[in-house]
Order: sequence, then structure tokens, then C-alpha cells
Amino acid sequence: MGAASQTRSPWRDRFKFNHLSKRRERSGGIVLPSILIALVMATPLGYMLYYGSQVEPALWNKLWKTQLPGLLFNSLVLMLIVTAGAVLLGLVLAWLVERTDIPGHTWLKPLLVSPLVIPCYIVAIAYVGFVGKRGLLERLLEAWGLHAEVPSLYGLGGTAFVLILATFPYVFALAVAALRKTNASLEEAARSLGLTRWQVAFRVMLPLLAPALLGGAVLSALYALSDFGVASIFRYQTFTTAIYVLFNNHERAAASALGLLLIAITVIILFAQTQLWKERRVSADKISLRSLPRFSLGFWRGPALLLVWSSLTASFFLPILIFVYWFIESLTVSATVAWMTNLNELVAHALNSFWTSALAATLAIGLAILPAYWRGRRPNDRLGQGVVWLAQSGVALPGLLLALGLAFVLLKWFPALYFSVSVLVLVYVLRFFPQAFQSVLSGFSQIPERLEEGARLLGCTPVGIFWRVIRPLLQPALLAGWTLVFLNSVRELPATLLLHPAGFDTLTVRVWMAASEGYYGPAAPAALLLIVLSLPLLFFLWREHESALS
Amino acid sequence: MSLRLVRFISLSLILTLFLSFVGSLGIAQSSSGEIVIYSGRREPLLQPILELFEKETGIKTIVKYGSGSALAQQILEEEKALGRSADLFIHTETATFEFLRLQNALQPYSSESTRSTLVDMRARDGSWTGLSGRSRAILYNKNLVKASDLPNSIFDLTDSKWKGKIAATNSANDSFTAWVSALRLTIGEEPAKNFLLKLKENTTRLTNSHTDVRKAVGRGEFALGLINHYYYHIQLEEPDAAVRNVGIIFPDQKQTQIGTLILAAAGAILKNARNLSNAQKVLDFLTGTEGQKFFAEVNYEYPLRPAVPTRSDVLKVVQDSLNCNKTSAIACLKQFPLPLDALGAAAQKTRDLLVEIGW
Repeated sequence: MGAASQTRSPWRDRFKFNHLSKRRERSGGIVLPSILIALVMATPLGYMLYYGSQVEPALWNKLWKTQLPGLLFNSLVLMLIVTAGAVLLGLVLAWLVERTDIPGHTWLKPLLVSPLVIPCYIVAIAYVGFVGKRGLLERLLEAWGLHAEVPSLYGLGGTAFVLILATFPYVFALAVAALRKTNASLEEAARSLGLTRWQVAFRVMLPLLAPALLGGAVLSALYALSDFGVASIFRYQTFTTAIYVLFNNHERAAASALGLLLIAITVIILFAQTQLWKERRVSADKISLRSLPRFSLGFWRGPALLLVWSSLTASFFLPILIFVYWFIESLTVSATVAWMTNLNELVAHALNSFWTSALAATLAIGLAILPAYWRGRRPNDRLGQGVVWLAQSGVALPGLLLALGLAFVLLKWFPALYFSVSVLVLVYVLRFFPQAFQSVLSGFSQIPERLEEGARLLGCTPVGIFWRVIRPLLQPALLAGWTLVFLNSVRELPATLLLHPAGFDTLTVRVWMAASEGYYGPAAPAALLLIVLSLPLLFFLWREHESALS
Repeated sequence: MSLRLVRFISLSLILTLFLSFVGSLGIAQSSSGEIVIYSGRREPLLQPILELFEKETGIKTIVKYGSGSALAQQILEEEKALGRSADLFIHTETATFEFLRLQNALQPYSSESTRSTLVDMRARDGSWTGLSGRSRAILYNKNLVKASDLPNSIFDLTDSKWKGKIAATNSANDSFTAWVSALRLTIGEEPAKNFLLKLKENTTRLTNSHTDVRKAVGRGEFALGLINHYYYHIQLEEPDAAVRNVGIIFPDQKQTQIGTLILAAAGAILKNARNLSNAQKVLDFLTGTEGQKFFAEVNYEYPLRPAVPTRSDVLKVVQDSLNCNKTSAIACLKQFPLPLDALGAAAQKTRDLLVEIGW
């Protein structure tokens, strides 16, 4: 580039017009690292696909004759129920707090996303210990003189119940945003043309909300499909639990065969989303400044409040209360704590959790900047689109499979890494890179390109532009992305269980080890610590989300 | 504010990079006399005794708990890739040790302490040493099963009257897998497969943990559960009296029946152990009088050192249900006619079978 501009006049050289237009094409400083990053991110998926494709037909045949149909049925049924439940609950709650005069609608909003701070397996553990025969509830009732048999939640019912509680806040957040963006005049126009309220709801509002609901539905479906913790706690056999058992039994071929199918289902869902997205695109006007009128609930106020508060209780307050109870109980019954959790160890486990997650979040965000810049600034660059697609292909890989793929790759080529703490950091980076990327990308989309061009014309170096122009503007997006990756890493379960090295337990490992042995008391401090420390971060995220909307 | 946050993030990046470097060094080397133990044995049944060891010797232990066969694989992979692995492997049954021995991943150890345990419960060449004995048994809920209905053989469990009433672990529990291996070798391939298929009809598979099975039976979710014997005694420790109404059956103990499997939880020193002498000390401690007493008294297991008595209530249950007056539970029980080391070579085929029938 330098050689070409030397022949031109000093004036042209100074303002680098030609240079700029060349940059518009591609810049090696961005392209090469981006491709490298994308390749790294796609490695576990690639290896899983390769490994899965090597499975012998005889094994497929055997699996098909035995486990496969049952697992397929179980996983799909669970996925459908969870998706339907989460979308319905999330949508109704969003409508109630956004469009009706339900008491407390201002502060209910952050409260209704707060269940996200409790990892779903912790909710599951709470319910398993709470209900059922001789569970906490039955014993509490007994202490009050009531003898009742509390049914247990094992199987599909409990798994779906907890997963709906875990996923409805996502749908809720998306639906609230979409509701807020809808234009009041559309609704008013429809009403003035004689449509009833129900007709407005179904013919105007629902199509407007469709993209958000679709997004929420896909999120819930993939969540249910990739869940490991909740299903194993409720003894419900799915693809993921079966893969975990097979891997632990060193049935790697069978594990990767099932993994391949799981990936295929995930890809189908993601593909269906893009197809539906195309058809369902509804042009949205500018956001109206006028706030929409709130419906008066009237008689329905009571049932609406009941729904909101029972959702909150079931997904947030009750699990926390149960763990608090176990915690207090464990302080009084010394026998159960004899073997684990003294304060020093708890602090050590918390530090392990936190520094690995912090490092992973920082790395993920750092690695996301270049590809996101490329994608954000050159949205039509075919190569860029491909690279970004590759970099985010990890979303098709449930956490457990990502850990498997990474394990296979590292064992083959980088064994020293596999047996060190770095493997945890690496798996978090790989797993949550798509989230980091999306955050950074949305940040770039809010920074006008003109600013950079201006800075460049004024003679700023690329690094200078980044540091003095882009970075300050990008900061909120970077922080939001960082927090998101951090939160998700801290609570990550299946990959952590599979990959944590000897003597390096994290909070999630402790919770799981204790609770899977039925020792709820010793699990309580780690679980509560995990929740309490995540809470402020989640509210930070919510505030970002809110301010982005307003 | 925002600048501070950026500083914080970049600082945390640098700090964490440094920490991870130090951390990975620490894990990779750990040569400061700390013993690295991989344990397929569950934490509550091992950690207390290791803490006792630490207290007495001042030697620190680092334990990775997990699935025994996954850890065995990890040991082989580490040996292959790095030329070393943990110092010590502890697990709940011996087939996995035999598997490792056949892969040449263990080193024999024999001392006065290890030699004073039952000879049947050790590898012939000293590659692994039994630490405690346990027998496969059936737990039942007294509220749900009448005494006259009690099965006395595992083959009774395939009766359709038990449909949905039996709890067992899934195939990721190695004690269970070892039992299946023993069954295959005792009654033959086809009969074993048919039996398991029928048993599967009646059985709900829970997690890989016997704790889950005993609790579910105690709560009355299932009438019967397939366990190792000491889970019966642990269930009797539950604070809630309502879940303690359980009994234990030692199956197939009559003259004409096949007996039950007695397993040994064992320990072995890995081939390239870095802290050889300390690892040996752990094995000496666990097979010594103090360690054996701990396994017997706290874990309700059968001590393998003849000089250490079986816990009286553990012994009494065996004596009463078998009409036996010997003073050792192991001596009272009729065992599968197999040496323990036969199970190692059978393990892989057992896993294949369990995958095939979808256990």
C-alpha cells in the first residue's frame, strides 16, 4: 500500500483517500487474526463432526435398536414443552408489566429477570430436596401437624418445570423490549378501523412480537436440548445425560455418535429460525415517543398478580429460601459438614471460580473485537460473513459436547494444556465467545463510521483511532459483554465437571459434588455465594439493557 | 468510572494470565511432597480418612473425585502424553485396577501393612491392594414389602410384580458394572443378557450414585434398591425417622444359589508416581489398623485386615440373615465363584453389553 501511494502527490498522500478506499476492501491486520480466531472457535465443533462421522455403522445400528429412539423422544418432548411453556409465560408476564396497570410494574421488571442469577441446576436441587416423599415440605408440614403426601417431581414433569422457570426470563426480556418498541399509532389505527382488542392482539401485536418470541423460543429450545444438570437431577434421560454417562464410561464412539445427532437437531433449529425470520420480518416504524396506554386489568388484577408472584416465588424466592434453610440447618447439625466446606476452602473455591471466569470473559471480549469490527464495518463482505459464521458455530454445540470436542482436540495435540487450569478458561472462552461477539458487534453498530473516518483524515493511526475514538464509545458494550460471559462462566456446569483438574474445584463443582450425594447442607454455602455474587452483575446488565431501549 | 472499569479489566487480564501461568505450573509439577490422588470413590466416604492421614503425617493430599473409569482413562492419557499422572488411584471396585494393570500403568507395592490384609483382596503381583470389602445387596422399604414377599435371589427381581418398584444406579457406577461382569462370568453370556433385559423392565435407573438409590428407597419411592451393603447402614443414620424403615437382603445365599459379589475398594500406586514414598505411606495407612478401623467403624465396610473386627451391627445383620456364627462378614457370605482379578478383562465387554441394552 505504501509503495502505491509514493507515486502520488504529497497532498493525496497526506489525506490518504486512496488508502481509505483500499481499507474499505479488506485489511490484513484484521482479516488474518479474525480468520485465526474463527478457526480456533470452530475447532471443537469440527472435531466432533469428524469424530462422530467416523462412528461405525454397526454401532449406529445398535444404538438405533436400543437407546436412540427413547432418547430422541425424551429430548424432543422436553424441548417442545419447555419452549411452549417459556414463551407463553414470558409473553404473558411481559405484557402484564409493560402494558397493564398491574401494581408495581416499574420494579417488577428487574425482579422478573432476577431468576437468571440462579443456575438452573441449583433450582432443580432445591426442588428435589423440597418436594417428594420425606422432602423438606412434607417434614415442615408434619412439624405443623399436617400429614400430607407431597408428590415428587422426578421425570419429565420436574425437568420441564424447572427449565421453564429457568428460561422464561429470557423470553420476558426480549418480549418487553419488543413491546416497548411497538408503535402506539399502529394499535390505535387498528382499533379505529374497527378491530376488537383480541383481533388487534392477534393480527397486529403478535406479528410485531414474532421476531422476539421466535428468538426466545429458539433460546429456550436450545437450552432444554443442551441441559445436563436439571435432567440428571430429575432422573430424566436425554441425549445430554446419556452422552455424559457414555463419556464417563469411556464409550467415546457412542458418545460422539449421540453428540452428532444432538448437533444435527441444534442446527435444524437454528436453520429454521433464520428461515422463519426471513418470512416473518415485519417492518417496524421508529419508536414512538408517546408511551402506550396501559390496559386496566379490572377483575383480572387478582389472577394477574397471582401469576406474577407465583412465577417469581417458584423461580427465585423459594429456591433461595430453601438453600438458606439448608444452610442454617447445616450450621446446627455438625455431622453433615464434617467432611467439607470450611470457610477457607469456600473462599478458595470462590476465587477459583472467579478468576477463571474473569480471565475467560476478558479473553472472549478481547478476541471478539477484531471479527466484530470487520463484520460491523463491512457487513457485505462475503469472506467476513463466512468467518463470523465460523466463529459463532459453537452455538450449535451444547456445553457438554464442546467440552468433549475440546478434550479430544487437546488430548491429541496439546496434552499439557488439557491437564492444567487453562483448559477451564479455554472452554469458557470457546463456549461463550458467540455472546461476547454479539455484544461487541452491537456496540460497533452504534458507533457511526464517520467518526473513524474523521479521525483517520486527521492523521490518527489505527491503534490511536481504536484507543481514542472507538474504545470510549464501545465501552458500555464491552462491559455488558464481559459481564455476560463472566456470569455464564461462573455458573457453567457440564464442561467444568468434565474438565476441572485435580485439586481445582470451583463453586459449581462443590455444589454439584455435595448435592449429587444428597448433602444439601454442605452444598448450600457455595450455592448461595454463587447467587449473591452474581446478583449485582445481573442488575448491571439489566440497566444496560434498559438504557439501550430508552 | 468507565476508565476505571477498563483499567480494572486490563488489570484483571494481566493478573489472571499470571495466575493461570502459576496455577498451571502448580498443577503440572506439584512436587512439593503433596500427593495427587485420583479417586472414583465418593468424597464423603474417603475425604474424612484422608484428613485423618494428613493430620497424623503432615503430608498434604490433593484429590480429584470423579467417575472411576473416566479417571482411569485420564491416567492412561496422561501417562501417554506427559509421561506421568497422579501418584495414587483409589476406586470402589477392582476391575478398573485390573484394566490399568494390564495397560502397565501401575507399580506393585508390598509392605508389611499391605500384606496383612486378606490375600483374595489383593492383586497377585501387588499392583493394587484392597482397602475395604463390601457386598452387593438389596435394600428394601419395610413399609412397601411384606416379609413374606421378600425376594431371596436377584432372579426373583425379574418377576412382573416388581415392575417400577426397583431402583438401581445407571451404568456409570463401577460397582454395578463389576456386578454385571461377575454375573456374566458366572451364569454365562446369554442368560446374563436376558436377565438384565428383564430386570431393566422392572427397574428405574437413577443417577450413578448409590446414595440416590438408598434415599429413594428410604423415602418409599421404590420398594427395592440394588446397593452395596453399607448404604443400608448409612440410611439408618438419616435424621428423619420415617426414612429409616429399611431392611437389607443378601441375595442368593442358599446352597443351590450362586452367591453374591464381594467387591474390594482398593488403592494402587501409579507407575510414574512422583511422590512414591508418600503414596506408599497412604497405602500403609489405609491398610493399617487405624485406616481399617475407620473403614469398618465409620463407613460400615468389611475390614480386610483380619485383626480388625467388623462393626458389631454390620456383623449382626449378616449373621442374623444367614444364620451364621462366624465373626467375619466376609466368611459368612457365599460369594460368586470368581477371583476378583477375573473382572478386569471382562469390563469392556460388560460396558458394551450395557450400552447395547441401554442400561
